[in-house]
Amino acid sequence: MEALRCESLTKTYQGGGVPVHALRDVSLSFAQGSFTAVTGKSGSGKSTLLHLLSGLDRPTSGSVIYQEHDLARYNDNQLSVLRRRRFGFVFQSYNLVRELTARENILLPVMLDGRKPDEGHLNRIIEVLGIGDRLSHLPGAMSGGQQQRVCIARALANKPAILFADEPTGNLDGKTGREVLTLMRTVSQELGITMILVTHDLGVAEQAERIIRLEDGQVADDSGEGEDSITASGGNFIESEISRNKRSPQCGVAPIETAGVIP
Amino acid sequence: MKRLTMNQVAAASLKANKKAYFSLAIGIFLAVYLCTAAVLGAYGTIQANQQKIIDRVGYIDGFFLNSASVSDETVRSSGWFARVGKVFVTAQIDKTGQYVGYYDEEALSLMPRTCVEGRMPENPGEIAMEETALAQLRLDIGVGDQVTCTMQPVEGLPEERTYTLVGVLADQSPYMESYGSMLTDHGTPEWPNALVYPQDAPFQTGDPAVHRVVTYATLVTYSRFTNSDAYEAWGYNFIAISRSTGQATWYDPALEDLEKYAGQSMIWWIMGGALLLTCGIGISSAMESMLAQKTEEIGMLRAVGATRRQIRRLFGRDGWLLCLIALPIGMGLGIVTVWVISRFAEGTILFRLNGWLLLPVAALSALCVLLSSRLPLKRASRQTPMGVLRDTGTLRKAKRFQSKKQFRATRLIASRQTRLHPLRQAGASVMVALTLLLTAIELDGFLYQSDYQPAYDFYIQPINGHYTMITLDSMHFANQAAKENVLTEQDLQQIRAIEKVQSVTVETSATILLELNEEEVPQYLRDYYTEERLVPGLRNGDVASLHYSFHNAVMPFIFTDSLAYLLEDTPDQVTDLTDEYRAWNAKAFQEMRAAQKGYGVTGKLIPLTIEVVDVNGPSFQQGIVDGRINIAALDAGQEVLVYAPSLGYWETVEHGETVGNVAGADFGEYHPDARLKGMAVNDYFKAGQSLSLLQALTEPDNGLMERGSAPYTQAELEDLEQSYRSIHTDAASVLVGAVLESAPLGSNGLCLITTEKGLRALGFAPTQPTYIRITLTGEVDQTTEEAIQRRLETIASRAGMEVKNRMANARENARRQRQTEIVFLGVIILFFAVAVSMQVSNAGRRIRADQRMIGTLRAVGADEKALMGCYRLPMLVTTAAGLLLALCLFILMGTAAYHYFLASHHLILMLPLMILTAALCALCCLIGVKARLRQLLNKSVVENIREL
Repeated sequence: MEALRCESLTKTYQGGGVPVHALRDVSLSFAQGSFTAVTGKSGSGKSTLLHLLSGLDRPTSGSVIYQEHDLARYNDNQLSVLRRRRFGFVFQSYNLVRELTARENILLPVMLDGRKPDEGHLNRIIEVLGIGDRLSHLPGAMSGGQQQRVCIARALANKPAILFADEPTGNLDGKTGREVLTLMRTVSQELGITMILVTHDLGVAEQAERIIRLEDGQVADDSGEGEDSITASGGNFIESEISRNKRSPQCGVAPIETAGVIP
Repeated sequence: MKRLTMNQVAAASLKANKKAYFSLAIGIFLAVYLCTAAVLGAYGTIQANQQKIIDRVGYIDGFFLNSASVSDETVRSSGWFARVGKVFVTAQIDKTGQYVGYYDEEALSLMPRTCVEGRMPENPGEIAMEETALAQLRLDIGVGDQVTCTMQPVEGLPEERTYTLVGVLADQSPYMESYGSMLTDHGTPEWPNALVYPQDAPFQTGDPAVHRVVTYATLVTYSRFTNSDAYEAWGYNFIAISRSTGQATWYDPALEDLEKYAGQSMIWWIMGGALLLTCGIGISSAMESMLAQKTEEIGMLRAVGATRRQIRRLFGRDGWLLCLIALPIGMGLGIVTVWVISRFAEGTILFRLNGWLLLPVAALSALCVLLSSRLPLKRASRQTPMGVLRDTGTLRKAKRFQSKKQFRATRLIASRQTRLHPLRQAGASVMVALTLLLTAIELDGFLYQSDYQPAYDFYIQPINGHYTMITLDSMHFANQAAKENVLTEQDLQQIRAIEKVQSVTVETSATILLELNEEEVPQYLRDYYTEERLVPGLRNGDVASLHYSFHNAVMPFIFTDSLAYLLEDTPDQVTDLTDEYRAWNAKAFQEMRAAQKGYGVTGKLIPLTIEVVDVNGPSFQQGIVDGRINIAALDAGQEVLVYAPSLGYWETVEHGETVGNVAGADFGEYHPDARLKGMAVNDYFKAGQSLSLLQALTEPDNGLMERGSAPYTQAELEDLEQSYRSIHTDAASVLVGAVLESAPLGSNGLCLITTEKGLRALGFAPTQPTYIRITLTGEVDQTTEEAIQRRLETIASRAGMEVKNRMANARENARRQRQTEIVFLGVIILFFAVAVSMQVSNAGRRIRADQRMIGTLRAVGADEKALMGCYRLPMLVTTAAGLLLALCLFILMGTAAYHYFLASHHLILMLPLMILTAALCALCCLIGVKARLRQLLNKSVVENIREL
């Protein structure tokens, strides 16, 4: 079952009058619950691909299809709802809100969604990431590794359908990196999360089920090519959210109408 | 390699961070602009008042009275004066106290005369008179008419002259009178209020008197000159002109002028100061915000070896460069603003561009920029590379934060930011407060104007002179002329007969003497007036103390010799007098006793006032404690009312031994710490009691009987004796109709009360100005109003009085009020716009600085509404703080300085208005901030995050 796909994805930056083609005509598909690593040299377009897939950026051309809907046709508010309920993102530079403590940063997507946090789930993530004693600290009082773990916890807090990670272990030592990666995989497998990870560390990439290598904005190599002839899940994100609201109103999920009508 | 200067770095930084510097530039520009507007506005206000003074008395700094004995050469070559002009006084017109004279060319240039009608005399036989002179002379003539008068030269024989009236002059002579200047210096003619041609035929006898008008030479002041030998040598007769009031004074007006200037321009200083403070806070906050964005850059520079001084210079230079750009623009706009205001508020502000003023403006603006940017720069330069990397500043402040398990994300971020940077919006809060306060004051003025209903429409009052009360020893004399000039019943009937006249009330008072037939002074009167505090060393209740007390109550100026009448012996026993006074006192005492015997007075005389008021109405009825008010008996002069209040003597802690003699228990209510020492309760005046009253009037005043200093020459003593001989007395016996313990008589104490008819029936003359107040009924159109005014003027001119049209005054006031309101409204709109733009630009700066955080929040699912929440709270807090500050100031103004700032009594209406304005301000700010946020949201999340 397909979790996400992109078709003819192209991203061109206008830097100093000279167009820079970060991505050129990339078409990929990601299976539900799969773990994909995207590798490549610096400037090969790894992060750009991740940003476009996660809806953090808009492509110059092409489309990203999530549950048979083109993200390009979502407005900003609809994308926000999607990001806080369905996607999780681990930034290379953590991007924690410096006025909030580690716990508050972790809870951000859940709180933005107006839901009650799943304490059991959160405790487990926190325990595995080893940041239990840092929860009341502000980002400025934590090391880079600790901030990275908080960032990972934040990405997993809302039990996303797809987890995007941009160099998640880049700032961690080898042992911790492996532990974190294992945790991410474990949690992803348990929750059926599709994980798309960008790394230049081949050791990390090797742990993925599928490795995509980019070169000059194009797919140079895809270990899973041909395997994923994905069929549409037939599920609609909005519809599923409505049914989810109906199932668990006590969770305090914000009414999905706030996301507006998706054409 | 070409050397890179700090200025080039700063300029490049400005160019590269245009947006970030915009707010800072706005703050600096506003500082310069407001400095310019405040200084020029204050200067313009003072100049406008100066112009009024110049219109009245010209450019002179002072004048020498009757200085013919000093030669022109002596005065001119003394070095004290830059310009000297001469004003000649040739003669008095018909013994009326009105003088004829002329100005020489220099005097005319120093004190230009304005013709209300016609022109200045240009040929012999022509005359121009001041408006009040015409009224006082009761000359029913116009320009072009001829007038024949008997002229009494200053020191010569009377001559009859005929002049053609060629002009009516705006008044100048009344401003040249000063207490104790003209009237007490015998032989000194007053300022001419009728001017003839300088080459007019001279009088056959008597030379004209000469007053010299002067302007000081450079660096000369009143005090320097009056401490010089020249002042003594020239007869001490120099009188200064206050440049703030235009009045002649015997003392140094410099301090008073300074206070007046400060008062006149206070509103500009207050507003300018408040706005400058706001700008300072704004600049400081903009600088802080800009430096916050450059934290990493500063950390990096520190890491690579930049010293704190270099950091301060590098980033401070940005501010100075902006200041250089803002100076011409801000000053230009400030000048234009004051010019525009001066066009609207003509007469209130005069636009005068003084180049020397722009220097302090530039210095003040630069100082404001320097001081406001100093703290943020100092703070920024203190940062250590590690401090920047670890954000230790935030960590230190955030120690008190409690980690929350559930929260509203954006509200939490907003509240944390507000707690981390509580003063970030202080400037905007002050601005909001000022806007709200101005709005309230504007509404107050508007309501006051719409509420204001004059109690009466016209009033007639004496022009001056004829009602002067004079005093000598115990006897209180009114000028005989006062009696002659009282309006007759026929006059009043004529006024009442005018169409649309609803009511006519007359108010005046007369000083009379109550003759006590008893041996002892009644206890009430002793208690009422006697207290040790009044004259240290005197015993309670003794006659001297009693007399002093009466004089304190009745006369504003007391003389030690005036208590003689109550004493059985000579006044020698009373006080320590100089020999000169003692001799004069003895003489006066003898004269007075002889006069008393001549009038058949045997008892002790107590000076009292008899108030002429309209006693109809409940206020007087409520105050009655004995008897009743019989208007017919009052009108017939058979009865009077006695207002005999109970008086409490209070000792207060704050005034030490001072005792406040305030009526009743009121004093104790307002001063809880005061101790009641005793009460004076009426046990003397009763309804039905018979009172013997006496009033003494003199022939036209010769200036001797009212002067405070003793006469010196034999001739003067003879004049004085003549004055005594000419005293005319009126006596009356009257019954007390009612005794009142309270009466609506302002601050008056013990007094008698009667009606206007009653005073005439008693045969007494008013010794205070008589005011006749006329209330009209229904709508009065302009033609009717003019007709009424003309009729009243005819009646008033017969008694040397003038008509004041309160309706016309009210119209003029309303016109000025409207002009002021328009200006004020403009200022409010400006303030409102500045308050909103300050908040929006503050929020805009923060949005730019928070771009990465916004990107992060968007990445984790925050939509526009949620992001707005981060900025809504600080904005509402800012507005609420402004509202709170405005309310506090408003309450402070409403209590401490109520009468100065607020005229109407609609405080309750102003509170919702302030809240409404604050809400409108908040709404405008939210719209502005939303627009700023949208600019960011139009970019992708990645762009938001990558921007930094």
